[in-house]
Amino acid sequence: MKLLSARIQNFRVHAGDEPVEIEFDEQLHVIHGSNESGKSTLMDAVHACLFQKYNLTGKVLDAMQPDDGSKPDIEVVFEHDGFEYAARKHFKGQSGTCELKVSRDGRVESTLNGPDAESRLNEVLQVPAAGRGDRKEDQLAHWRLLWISQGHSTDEPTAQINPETGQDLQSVLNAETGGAVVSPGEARWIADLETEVNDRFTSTGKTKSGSRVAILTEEVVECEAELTVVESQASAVEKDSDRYLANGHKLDEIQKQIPTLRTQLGERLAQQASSASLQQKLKNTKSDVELKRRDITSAENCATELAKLKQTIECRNKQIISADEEIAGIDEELQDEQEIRASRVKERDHTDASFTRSRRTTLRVQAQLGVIRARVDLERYNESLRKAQEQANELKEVGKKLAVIPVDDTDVDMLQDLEASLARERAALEAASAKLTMVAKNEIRFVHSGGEEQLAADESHERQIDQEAEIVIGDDEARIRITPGGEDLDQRRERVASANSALRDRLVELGVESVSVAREKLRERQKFESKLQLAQSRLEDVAPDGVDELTRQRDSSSEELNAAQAELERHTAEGDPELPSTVEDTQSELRVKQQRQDEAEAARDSARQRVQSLDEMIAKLKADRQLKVQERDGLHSQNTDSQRQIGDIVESNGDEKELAEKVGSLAEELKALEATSREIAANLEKLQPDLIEAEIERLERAVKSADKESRNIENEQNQLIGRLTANDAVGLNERIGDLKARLQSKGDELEREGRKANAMKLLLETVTSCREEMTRQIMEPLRKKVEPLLRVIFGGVQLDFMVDEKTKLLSLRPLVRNRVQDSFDRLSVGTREQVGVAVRLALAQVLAEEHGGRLPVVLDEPFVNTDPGRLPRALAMLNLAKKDLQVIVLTCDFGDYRELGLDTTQVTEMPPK
Amino acid sequence: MGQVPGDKGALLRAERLAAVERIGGLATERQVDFVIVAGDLFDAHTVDNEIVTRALEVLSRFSVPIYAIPGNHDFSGAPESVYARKRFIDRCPKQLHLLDEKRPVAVTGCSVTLLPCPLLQRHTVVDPTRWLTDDTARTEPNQIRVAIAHGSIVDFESEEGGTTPNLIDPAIVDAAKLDYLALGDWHGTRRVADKAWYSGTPEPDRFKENQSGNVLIVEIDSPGAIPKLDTIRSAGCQWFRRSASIHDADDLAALEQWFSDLSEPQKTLVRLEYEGVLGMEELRRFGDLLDTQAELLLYLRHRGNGVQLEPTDEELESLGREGLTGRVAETLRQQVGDDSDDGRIASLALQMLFQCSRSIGGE
Ligand SMILES: [Mn+2]
Repeated sequence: MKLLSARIQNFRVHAGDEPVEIEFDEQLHVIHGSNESGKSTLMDAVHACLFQKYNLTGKVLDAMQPDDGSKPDIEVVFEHDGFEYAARKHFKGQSGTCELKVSRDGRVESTLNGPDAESRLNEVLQVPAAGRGDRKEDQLAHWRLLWISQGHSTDEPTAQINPETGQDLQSVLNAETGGAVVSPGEARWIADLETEVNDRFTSTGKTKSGSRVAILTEEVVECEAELTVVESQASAVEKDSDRYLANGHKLDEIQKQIPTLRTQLGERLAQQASSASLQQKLKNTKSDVELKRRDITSAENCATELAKLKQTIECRNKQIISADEEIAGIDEELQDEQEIRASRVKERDHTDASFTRSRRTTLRVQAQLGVIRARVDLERYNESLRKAQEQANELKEVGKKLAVIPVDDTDVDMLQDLEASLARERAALEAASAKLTMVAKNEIRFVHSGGEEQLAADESHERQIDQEAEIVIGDDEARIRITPGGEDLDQRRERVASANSALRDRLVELGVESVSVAREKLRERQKFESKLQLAQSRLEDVAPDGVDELTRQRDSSSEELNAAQAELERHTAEGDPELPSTVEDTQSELRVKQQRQDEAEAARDSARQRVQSLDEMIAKLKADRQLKVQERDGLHSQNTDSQRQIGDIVESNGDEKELAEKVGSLAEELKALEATSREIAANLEKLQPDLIEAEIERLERAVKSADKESRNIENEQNQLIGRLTANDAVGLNERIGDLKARLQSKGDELEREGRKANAMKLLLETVTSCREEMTRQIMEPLRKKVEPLLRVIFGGVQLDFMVDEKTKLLSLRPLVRNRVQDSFDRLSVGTREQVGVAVRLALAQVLAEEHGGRLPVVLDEPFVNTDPGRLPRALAMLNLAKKDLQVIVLTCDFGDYRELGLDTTQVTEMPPK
Repeated sequence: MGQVPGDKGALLRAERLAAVERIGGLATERQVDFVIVAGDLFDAHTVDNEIVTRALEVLSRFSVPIYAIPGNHDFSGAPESVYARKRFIDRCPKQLHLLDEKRPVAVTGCSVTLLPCPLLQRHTVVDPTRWLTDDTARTEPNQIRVAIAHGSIVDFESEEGGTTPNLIDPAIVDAAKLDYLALGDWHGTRRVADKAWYSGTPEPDRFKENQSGNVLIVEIDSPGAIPKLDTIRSAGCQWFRRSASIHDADDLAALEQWFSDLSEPQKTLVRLEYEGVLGMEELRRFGDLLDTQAELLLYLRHRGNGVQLEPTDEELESLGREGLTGRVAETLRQQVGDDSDDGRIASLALQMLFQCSRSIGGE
């Protein structure tokens, strides 16, 4: 089906005699125009003509009528299945009319009216009759729900509600697809199964606590735990029992071993005793040998010591002689250096005196320079002070003159204001009063309130009349009474008088005769003020810190001069030459003197240096001498000590010959002792005392440990008996048996229950997945249509159609750039409307196949939320969709649609209202 | 007795005492000289006093002496031994003689000398009968030599490098010139040699096909004579282990028949293992069979997951192949058949689906 044209009269804003007419392009038509130009209204009218009952009444009709109350008359021409239909509805409440002309190849085949026309129209458009909404073929009429009305571009396409049936598109689709998958009977047992599964499992598929499986699991775990405890008790008994028996065997063995060990130990101990006595003997002999050796060594040492001491004394005597010779040499050198020093001291004293003289001369010239500079400064201060006093006097005089002038610029401003105000009031009075002009032909006399006056021939008299006045002409020949008509004359007069008196009062107060005199006085004041300013700035030039400060500076400069003169006198002696009197001369003189002083100072310093280095040389020589003397005296005293040592040694040990004899006899004795020792050692070797000792140690340890072990085992046996005969093991056998039986039966039941629960779960999961799969298959055509459209915009977006677990309804779940969106609502508004338009177009394409291959889709501002960058792609999608559809777009902004290169027949511009 | 819980377990325990009582009656009836218990009179050292007291009470009513040796479950010589327990010592009847020493014991009133081989610990690596060839085991020439021992005559573990404890070499019968060797430990009645027998347990306590539940009456005329044996059933309950492969209605019928042939269902314990594939209708029949037998028998044990559902074409057709139920059934059917837990769950889910769709159809 496609729309061909429409003619609208008296529909909402489209009121008046002239109908609005439009012809639609069969593929893509854009209607544009400013807001309120009636674009949406136009398409609403088309919608009403196609789908509203022609004889409807009430609110819907009211909403369709224009403000003037005239009745909507709409004709829509469309083509379907090779026929052309012209439907015309005139909405007039009960008396509304409907006409449907059916033509083929330009020839009218039939014309229907009233209910026949409408029911035929509904049939062609596949609109369900009232009360029928659940037949599959009826659902197809929902194609018009795919239209986007203004402001609804971001709505979920499948949530669109059909105003006539109240059904939304989603439930329509569900009835066509997912809903048809499940029969009511199936739905019932699936619901029961869900309850069963939910009783057994949580939403995450875990076993629910409190379910039979969970209870059984708990019981099994409890049983197992109890069994573990009881079995471990039983196995502890068994272990203790085994241990008890093993211990018994071990104890027997140990107690058999102990006597053997004791006998072996006794034998070894006897062997050890004889070995010990030999060892003692060997030890004694060895110590004798050692003593002899020590005696020999000590005698030999004495002889060596004596020889060494004698040799040392000889050597020291030679050293003493050489030291004496060195001391005599140093003494000669000292004498020579002392003589040279005396002549250097004289030189030094001479240069000292010469420096002192030169220094004084320099200081004197410096002082002279100070005196000259102080004098110049003092003169400068005196001159500045004089000038400053001159300007101070001038200031005083001008100030006196200024004081006697009574007005200033404020006063004059005020006077001028008063004067101006007077002038204004006068002008106002003059404007309000009458003006009298009299021209005399002949000489005449007249009297008025001011007195009598006379006018010559041709003379005129003018006067201003601001109050009632009377003029008597001649000898009362005529009386002219004049009453001026101006308003508030009295008041105006009074205001002139008061302005005048205010000016006078101010002049008197200031003591001037007139305003001009006041102005003159002001000019005089300004002249003196500028004079005052000039004097002030001059004074500031010479004395920036004030006259007092200048005076203080002059006095301090005078003191500086006195101090400089005193300094000069201090450095001057009788007979000193005259000094230059100018600064320049004095400075050059100072430079000469300074140079001389520096030369004298250098000469003095080098003389001092020479004396000092000589002093150092002499001191060093003296120190050398001292050291030598000490060294020699030390050698003397060492020799004395050595002599005394020789004496001591000879006295106690005899002289060298006696010592040699003693060594000989000791060596004989040593030889005999060593032979004895070797003999004893050989005997001892044969006995192997180390072996005996180790054996004894081992045996002792073995006996001890056997004793200890048998004691330990006996202790343990007692403990084991205690434990084994305690009553708590009685009955364990039956408890274990009972627990095992219970565990087995509970385990079997758990296995069965678990399998049952899992089977239920599996069944439900299989049901769910089969349903989804079936839904998917049914929705495949839609998916095929929507994908190329979305690819134009997004370059590949997947849409999933899922059965919602809660509502059992089909719902859209778009996958945008591989990100799964939970629902359509979670997309951004821009994306929502683009996806929404794509889905509507795709649905329309699917439905169009049932409608003769083409359906009109009206999109009122479909891309208001789309960003400008993506808009061209969105429009390209419309361009793609137009192949199978008639796309009619309403927009207030035609700009971007120009890119589509539409013909004039494809565009309608609505003129603004 | 770790098999049956609750009341049925208590019933089984009572049956064991009843068996002992029956043995006492039999001893009187057959006028035997004495009764031999070849070990394991008690299950464990940790048996309850109630068991000890009741057992001793039954034994105290025997008209002949009872000679018992300690076995591996009730070996003597440990401090915790049931025989060292005060309850046992206090209540031990005069008829009961516990032979816990390796020395000959002459039976008064007949020319029999008993040669006990008691176990003094749980496991011994030395053959407990070895002492029978020692001098200490000599008897008077006119005596009938009857040895009592507890252990295994087959070395089960030597192949795996271990040692079977309490291993007995049956050659001892000739080596020690025994007239009879009474063996204990194995639960089934079994002849080892003419003069060596396991009597087996008088009341079985597990699903094991081993001829248990008997008592032996042994008659020996004189030293060297071949003993005459009489095997008498002493058990009260029957234990069966049954496996079945169920693939069609015939298999199912055979199993039903087997159950109905059981003579004393109330005293019968069955452990059923099965596998197979059945259609929806037969599977339900099979389920009913299991449910009723579980109620009828003393005990029916089964895992309930061996037979899977393979719906027939008609059954599948009844669900509608195009609709949701048909599609779900087809999806589940593809998961059935693989012999895993998942497969069994799928089978069960498929059964549930049938029940669900039937419940709709029945409306
Ligand atoms: Mn045993």
